[in-house]
Amino acid sequence: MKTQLLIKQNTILIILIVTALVMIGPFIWMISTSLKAFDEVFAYPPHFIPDSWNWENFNNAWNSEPFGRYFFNSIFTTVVIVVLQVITSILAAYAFARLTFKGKNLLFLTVLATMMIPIQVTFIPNFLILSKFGWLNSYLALIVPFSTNAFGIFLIKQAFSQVPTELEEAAKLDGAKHFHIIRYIMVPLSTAAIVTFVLFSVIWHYNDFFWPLIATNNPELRTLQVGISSMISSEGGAQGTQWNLIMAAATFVLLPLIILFIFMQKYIVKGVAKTGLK
Amino acid sequence: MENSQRIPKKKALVTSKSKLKPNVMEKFIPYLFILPAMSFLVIFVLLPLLMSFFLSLTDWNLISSSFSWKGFDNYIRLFTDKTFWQVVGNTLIYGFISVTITVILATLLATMLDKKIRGINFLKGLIFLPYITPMVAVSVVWIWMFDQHFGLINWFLGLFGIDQVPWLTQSGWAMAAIIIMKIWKVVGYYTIILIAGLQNIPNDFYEAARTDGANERQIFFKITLPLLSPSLLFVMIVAIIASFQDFDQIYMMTQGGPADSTNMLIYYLYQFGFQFFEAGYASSVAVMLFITLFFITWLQTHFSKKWVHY
Repeated sequence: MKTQLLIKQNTILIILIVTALVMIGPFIWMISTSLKAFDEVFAYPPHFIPDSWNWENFNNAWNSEPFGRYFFNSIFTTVVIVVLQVITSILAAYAFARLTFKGKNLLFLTVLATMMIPIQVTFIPNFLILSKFGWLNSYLALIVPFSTNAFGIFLIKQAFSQVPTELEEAAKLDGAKHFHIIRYIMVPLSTAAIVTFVLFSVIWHYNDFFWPLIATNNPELRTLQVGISSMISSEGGAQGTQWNLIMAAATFVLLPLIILFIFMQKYIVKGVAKTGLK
Repeated sequence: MENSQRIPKKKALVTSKSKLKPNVMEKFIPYLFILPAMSFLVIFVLLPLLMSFFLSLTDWNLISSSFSWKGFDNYIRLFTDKTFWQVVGNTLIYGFISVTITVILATLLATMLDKKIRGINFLKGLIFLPYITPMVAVSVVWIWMFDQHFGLINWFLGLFGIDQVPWLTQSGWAMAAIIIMKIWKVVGYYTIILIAGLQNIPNDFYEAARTDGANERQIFFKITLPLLSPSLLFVMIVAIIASFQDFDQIYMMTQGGPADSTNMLIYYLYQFGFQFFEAGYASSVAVMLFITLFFITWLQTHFSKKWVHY
């Protein structure tokens, strides 16, 4: 009986390990290719471990397009968007969770309803709106439309609603104002929800492609994702595509997220498990 | 009883207090808190939705400041356009095949991962990892892997005597390639959600079944699956809605080709809106997408109780 169980458990473990290898296979192959010399890229059968490790590929890839600029654009827009989203979401979540006002339920339902609107449906009209503002081809176009997030409002509101009222009332008796209550009671007791939201938001906006692709046509404003797509479309000379350089570029575009994941895996996975089923 | 009496008293105290010093500002404060969020949602989400309906009745070309009223011309054109129906068909095929396989795999993975074995969290992390990576950058990696002559995948298939598959360059294969890549990208996400679903099933059910002598297969089909069905339905709806909105990997890997065989709703919208500058026509695509997804969500909320065991 016990050996049977052990065999079963080991079979499962082997299946899972193989699956995990398949899942990270593309990343391993990416890194392997990124280190190869141009000739070795097309070796057949393929070499998994490069004959020589050509670290200069990373340097060449970095210089093939203004990747420094792209990195700055991606990180700058992501950080500003996330900060704006967190601030606007916390303020709205506080009102929806803790204050009473006319039309509260209807307004909150409106917030939830916006989550059901596919974002791409808004792109053509937003293009019109931003061109009327004269914001196309500027950081404003990349940032402002994403200044708040209905999911964030929802998530943080849920957390704020669970903060015991006694704490708030005690603070009120001490004469604490709303901002005090948010700063010293609500936010410290809702860090899990806020951190989850921040991580999701960072991932969404660092990875975002469609809107940055259409909202700007100035190469100076390209984000990393738009940058790498322009790199692959300009690649492919007579002697063949330089896959080693492209894979090197893909590696450094992926790297920030992989580092984020290594450090924040628990939060991200828990966040998905918690918010996924609602 | 004591409690229920106490609460109204407290409320009365608060209202009488606020009556004592009638402060108009106090009433407006909540609105100030929601003002930033609400105004952004109105300007950049709700207003654009209404504008989509409006623009779909015009011939706006995305750039000029004038347009003329076209009534339902765009919709008539849409419904009589063969390519549009092909695009709808592609979106449905892509959605249903990728979601079905993803959900089956995710269910199997979730049941295997919902165990207390050493190192299982590490494996969970690796399986989940592709989900958070940027679709554009990983598309680049998959284009390279799908390369007909030097790609890793065809080399692997070659080991089993399979000829070089023209992934990405032949109609049926291009769709298959996009589906395979999509499954790889999202299966970990749905696995994590389904693990949470599994953990919601009370252990008593399993114990009762085991004492009654049920085997693993019976337990899976008679207990796990029925009790997981609410989560499964939820996951399928979410996955279908998400798949209808896919754009990045189509733009990167096939540009909707060859011969529109991987062209899907959002890519079609992109083509007409931002490549052919027919924003009015593209808006009618947007409106149809919105209505479809709205309908699916409505179906889910209204009928989910009938479809699933609980």
